[in-house]
Amino acid sequence: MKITLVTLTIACISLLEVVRTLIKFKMDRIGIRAGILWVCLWLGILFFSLFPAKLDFVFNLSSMANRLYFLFLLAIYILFILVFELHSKVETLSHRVSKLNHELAIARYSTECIYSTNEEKATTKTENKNQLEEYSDVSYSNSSTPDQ
Amino acid sequence: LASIQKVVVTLTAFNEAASISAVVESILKQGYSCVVVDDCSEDGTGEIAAKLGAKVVRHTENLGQGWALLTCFKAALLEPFEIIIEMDADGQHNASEIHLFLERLANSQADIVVGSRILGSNHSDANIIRRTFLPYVTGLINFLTGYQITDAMCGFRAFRASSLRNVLPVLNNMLEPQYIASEMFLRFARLGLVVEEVPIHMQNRHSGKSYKGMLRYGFGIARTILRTMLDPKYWRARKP
Repeated sequence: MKITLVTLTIACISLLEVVRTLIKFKMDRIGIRAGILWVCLWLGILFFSLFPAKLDFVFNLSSMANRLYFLFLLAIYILFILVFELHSKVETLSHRVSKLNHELAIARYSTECIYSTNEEKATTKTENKNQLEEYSDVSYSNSSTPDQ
Repeated sequence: LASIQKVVVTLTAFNEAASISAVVESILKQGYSCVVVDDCSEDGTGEIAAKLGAKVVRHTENLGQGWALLTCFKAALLEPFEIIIEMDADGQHNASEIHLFLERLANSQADIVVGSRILGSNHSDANIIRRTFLPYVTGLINFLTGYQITDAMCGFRAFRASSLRNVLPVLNNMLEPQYIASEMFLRFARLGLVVEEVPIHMQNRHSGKSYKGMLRYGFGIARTILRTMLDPKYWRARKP
């Protein structure tokens, strides 16, 4: 194992990134899947920067003539994983935003209805509203309804 | 037949200013209540409907027809209606045919009555792509649900409010609300809801254009069916 300035720098950066990822995970800023992915990635870089000779073993396993091709393929594979993660996250967030908008529209409509009808009708609506709330993530209640 | 006061007609509308007034007027003229979900229109669709006397629910973002339909259901369920009718706001559906749905609901145990463009006489006027693929999509849904309908994608439908109340948790957890029709039939079949159909006659759009790209729509339906079938909640659902 020959330690040069370059390998030492890469090793230090990798170690710092591992610690940073663990802190982020602890502070709940990243999920468990993303945390594991990044820690594995940085630990891999740390390991191969300290033991570059071990890369030969991996290259032989891949049966590729050119080492550069292997590195390119590996990078593309990692990028695919990251894009998939981002795509899933964006899709989930988009669904949540749509649901929030939808719930907001119902809540506003519910409030408008309560204002615009007489007390008897409003009571019936409140009963139905309570039933909707039972299955919903948001409250349709308004603190300043006329019957309060 | 359900009393007219217990029937609400819901419309989902996005930039339908040119046609909404005729549709809302034809509904109100017959004495039905009307709820319009304005899916963030930029041409004053919601304001026009409100001026005519319809109740308007507004989305602050354009969420698509499926989400708007879910909003319709929930808005209608806030009031003590017994029957909820769903119609298109572009004038393609004829409000004078609403009574067909009400009669079928009154004379059967159906929870949902679907309009069928195939059983109606003017299906041959439909877009050729839609005419070609509709039987396949409907056939697939029939195969998966056990229903025997001829037009699963028709937007002219009637629902018993009590049945929708019973399946509210399912409506709240739809995986793909933008392609609600296919997912709704799959899930409702698991819950034992009865579906029947009546022939309807389509009219030409008063104006505007459809925002459903056929290829994207077809892909969306396929994805929705696949996702629903892979959802453990779908398989856990049982008839009450």
